[in-house]
Amino acid sequence: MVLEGRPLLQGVDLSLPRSSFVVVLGPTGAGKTTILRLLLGLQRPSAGKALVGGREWATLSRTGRARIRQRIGYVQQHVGLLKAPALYNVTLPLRWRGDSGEIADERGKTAMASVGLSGYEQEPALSLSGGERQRLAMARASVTEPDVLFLDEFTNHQDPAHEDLLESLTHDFHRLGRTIVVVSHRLDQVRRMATRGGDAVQVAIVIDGQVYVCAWPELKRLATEEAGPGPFLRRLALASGSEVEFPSMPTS
Amino acid sequence: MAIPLDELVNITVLTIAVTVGATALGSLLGIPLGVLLVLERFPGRGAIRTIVYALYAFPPIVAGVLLYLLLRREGPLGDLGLLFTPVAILLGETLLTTPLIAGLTVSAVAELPPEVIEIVDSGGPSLRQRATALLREARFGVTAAVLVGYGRSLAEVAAALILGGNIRGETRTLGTAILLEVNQGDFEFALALSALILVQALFMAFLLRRLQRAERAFAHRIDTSHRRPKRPASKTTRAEG
Repeated sequence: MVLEGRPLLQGVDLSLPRSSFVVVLGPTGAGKTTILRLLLGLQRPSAGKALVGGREWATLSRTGRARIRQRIGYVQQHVGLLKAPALYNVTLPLRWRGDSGEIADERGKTAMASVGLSGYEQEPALSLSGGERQRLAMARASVTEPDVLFLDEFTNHQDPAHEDLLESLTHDFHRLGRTIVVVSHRLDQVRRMATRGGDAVQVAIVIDGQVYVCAWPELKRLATEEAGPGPFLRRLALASGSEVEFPSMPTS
Repeated sequence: MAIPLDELVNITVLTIAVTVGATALGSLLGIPLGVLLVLERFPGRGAIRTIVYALYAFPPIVAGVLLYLLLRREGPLGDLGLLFTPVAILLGETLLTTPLIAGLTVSAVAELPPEVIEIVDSGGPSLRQRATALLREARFGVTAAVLVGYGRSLAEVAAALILGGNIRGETRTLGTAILLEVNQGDFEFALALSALILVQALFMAFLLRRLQRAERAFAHRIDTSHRRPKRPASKTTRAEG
């Protein structure tokens, strides 16, 4: 994958089995969001293939692409909202798939309540704060009960209580058999998710155009290595203060 | 010289009818074309976009001549007998308003924040749902495009003269009537007709201002609503599942 002439992702081979839980970790600008956009078919790879259900995005018809995307919920890093009431933003995916206005509103209110936004239904979506917008985006992503959730740095603007709320919701969705992909640049969040999700949670480290996939215990081992993602993981651990510590960490 | 009121009414009504008709037709053609040019990838898209922009400055007299050649008795559409009728003027004005409305629609939709276009696309809408959602977002810009199209058609003279012939009681518009009265030295009538065009232009300016104010009020509501005095308390805690 090339961005403005600069290679962004090279030789990346990443597959997401059904019901998997993957946390994509990497420094800013490493291509984490690009991976999500490729998986959603919103961006075409400059080389290689992006497949969904075994089929390449580029070969799918408009209807085929639409059907698949209706089964995916997406929370953007920079949340895009329409100039409309909050509830309208949440219910639009339901209306697009043919739900009646009444049913869509009912489901939309429930989804908004689940992220702590009850009573905000008629507020202009663009009047909400950064954290509220993210939670509204979570409500919109989950309102259709999608098979897959893509969450791009979805707790960036949250206070600890709301961060916990959104992470809990994510794990609830995973327990229902949904596939979850979370993009994060924070080691403490990865650790929390790995602790809650157990062995099911895989960490995909994106760095220097490469992707390293492992479980949390393996990540601790990778952090001790001098090559690959080791130095990056140690820097992250240092930045997280006392929240995350790796055993046998070489001093650097 | 006294102004013949009935003729003044006829001219004004015809002008408004032709202008509204050309703006409506121009919008029906231009808005979907503009949306397609922004949102869809197809062969020749770049070329069409360039042509649309080039036609921003399409000289009305050239549009008039081209349509004249098509509509004259010996032309390919001569059998329709449209030349020197209000319909011919309507077609000429539509030819002028369509690229303007299409091009300004392109600008309005293309200026939407990329994250808004992305979230609409990621929701899996049909082509129509996608276009509707994004046009709704760009509604202020698109409405301004329609009003600008109306303005271009309103005082147009050259195409109206060539295609309508400035026939008294039939195809005389405010623009062609002013030209005639000036040529005849009847500046009083020419000024009265000019005033009627100005009134319409002022009305358009008033609508544009209202539009801008509505947009500003909307933005102000967004900027200040976080200081709303009463807002429902949100449920911020949740038992961990």
